Amino acid sequence: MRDYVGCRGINARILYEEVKPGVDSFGPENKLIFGTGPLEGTPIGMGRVSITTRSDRGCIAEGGFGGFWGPELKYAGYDHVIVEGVSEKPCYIWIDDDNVEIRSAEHIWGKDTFDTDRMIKEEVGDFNIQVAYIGPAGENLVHSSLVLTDLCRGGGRSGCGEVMGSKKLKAIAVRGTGGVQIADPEEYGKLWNQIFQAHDHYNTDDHYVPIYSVWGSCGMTRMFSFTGSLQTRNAQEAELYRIDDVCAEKYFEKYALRGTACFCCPYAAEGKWHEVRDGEYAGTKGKNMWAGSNFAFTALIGNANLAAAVKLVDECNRLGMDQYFVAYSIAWAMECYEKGILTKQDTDGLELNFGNHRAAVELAEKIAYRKGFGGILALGVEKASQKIGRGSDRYKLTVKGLELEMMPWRNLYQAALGNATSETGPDHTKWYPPYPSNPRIATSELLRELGLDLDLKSVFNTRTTDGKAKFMKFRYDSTTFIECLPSCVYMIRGRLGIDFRPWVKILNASTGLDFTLGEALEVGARVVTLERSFIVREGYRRVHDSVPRRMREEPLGAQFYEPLTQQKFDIMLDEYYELQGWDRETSIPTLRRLKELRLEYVAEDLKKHGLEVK
Amino acid sequence: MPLVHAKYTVFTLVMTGKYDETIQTEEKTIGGLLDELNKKYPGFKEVFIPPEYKIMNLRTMITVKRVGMPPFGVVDPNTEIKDGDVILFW
Repeated sequence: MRDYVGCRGINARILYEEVKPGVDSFGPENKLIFGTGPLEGTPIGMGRVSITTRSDRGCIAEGGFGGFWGPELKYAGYDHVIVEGVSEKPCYIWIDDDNVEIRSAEHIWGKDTFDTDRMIKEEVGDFNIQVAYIGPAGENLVHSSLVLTDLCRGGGRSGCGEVMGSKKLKAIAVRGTGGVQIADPEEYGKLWNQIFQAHDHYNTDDHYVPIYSVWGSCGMTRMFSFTGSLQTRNAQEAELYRIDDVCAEKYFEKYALRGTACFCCPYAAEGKWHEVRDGEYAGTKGKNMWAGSNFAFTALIGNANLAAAVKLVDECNRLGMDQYFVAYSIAWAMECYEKGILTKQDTDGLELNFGNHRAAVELAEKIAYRKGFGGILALGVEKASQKIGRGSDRYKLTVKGLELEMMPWRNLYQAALGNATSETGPDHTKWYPPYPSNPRIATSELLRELGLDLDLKSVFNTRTTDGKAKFMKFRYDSTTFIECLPSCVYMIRGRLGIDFRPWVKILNASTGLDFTLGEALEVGARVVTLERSFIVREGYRRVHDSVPRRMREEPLGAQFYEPLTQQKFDIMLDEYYELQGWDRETSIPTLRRLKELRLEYVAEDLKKHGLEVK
Repeated sequence: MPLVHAKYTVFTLVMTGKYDETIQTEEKTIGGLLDELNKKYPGFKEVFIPPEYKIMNLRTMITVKRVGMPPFGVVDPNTEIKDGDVILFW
């Protein structure tokens, strides 16, 4: 525990040690690991769960969700659930405190997430249990399928849902009647109050917090568009002309009903229940229009019909698909269609022009069930572009075979570096936020006090290469530590994004341990390096930490943003590898670094597999 | 007299009741514009410059889009405004 703390950290170690390189991700040797940590079930844990496996792309798949499933598992007395083998028939796992059963799910297989949630709860006879499940997309091994809980809280977009589907595991249901003990409840209470106050919108030092706490993360849509940070029409542009028709304010006016939050969350940043009551999408009911949903199903596909975006969010949640994947797939297909690479003959007659929301809604369902052209997109944009050929790969927006998230690359270089180097493929939650919300919260005195060698001035100059690698190394190490506790990326706001002492203290108060800030950051570095070791053992190298061609070559003229050239990216990447202690040529962790991080066994293992560990 | 396009988002949209408006102003700085808006929408200025601190706070943000340059955030109320600026209050 001292080396990995829990959750994502322990998951990474289990995966590295127990899943051998080159195994079939959909075969019995692959493992699907659900992890909680020492702070799970306490307020600061926020219900976060880490799910880890070997993705179909060969790299590590790691992601997670909030909600209430994690605390319930902890209260049942478990920190981790490791699923291995492949079931002959569809099944689900029922964990009722000490009793664990594997039950048939043949009657549930094929059902959407809402029906699955209801049917399992009815079968168990208790609507207060927590269930994590996949939808039809995961069953059909669709690329980038999710594991969901609490109806709409999804995670593991880097490949966890389809691995769960390959094991014929529909769900894991949990009832826990125990609790967790805290070593020093009084100190814990003080620290929790301190962290909670930092997220109160009257006290906060972060201008994103009031937006999150009242409107949810989708409140940022107009700001993103205004600043030219909104990938529009497959990132050909950076601002949606009709943004006022599809923004969060309009969503609240027309569709949002009430907020929902994860376990003990001080603000419901992610979710609102919503309903479309009239028009062609009337009857759409669901929840969780978060920032990425709003960006992806409006700007990215050129759509100015907000009800259609709500419908697409709902479709993805019910069918168990990642919204980024679906939106980027459709956007790629739309660009190929408009450029004449795809025709109606390829698309089952669908007119895939940007903004055709009816076609997008139809295509999303086709992807989940692998019907017609949807079957090609279900492979993911990388493989779909290889299958289609005709130069279509020119327009793909992927890294390590995974679709991007809605982060700006050409005007926020630290985001580009963070997304390009993520071991899972693009995942902003592994390093977010990209800078402290305001220069005034991180003074040089504070940095000296913390012993952090960061040049925050350079970080605010987001279109230069200076200082980005150093800051991103700090972000990776610190955020990874948080994910080992676990807690939520939305909590790393304002001063708490730089001053990590409350996070370390709350771990100590909970467990009775005595971590220092330096040790905590070292845990983060160890886990990141272990995950890097996993992917280099699978054949990933420096070349895979890449920038999509569009971002490297095309400017965003209307906003005066130059392309992020390969040359500029290489400067940041060299520096990042140097700071991580990874070889510049290959990205393989160096022997010295592995020894520093007490990962000697990894060095031996990498050598055993024929890798040159310098 | 600069003609600016003010855009209101989240909280400021609630205060003003509108998504945006065009303002012909005699003011030359962001601080002056906040004073002017405060007359129309009482309390508007203190959302950005709390009276107890008299500097721009950390809870809210103003971003300016100006012809010929990338958008920029405002940290100083003395920042000049120019004809044609689009100003987002959020």
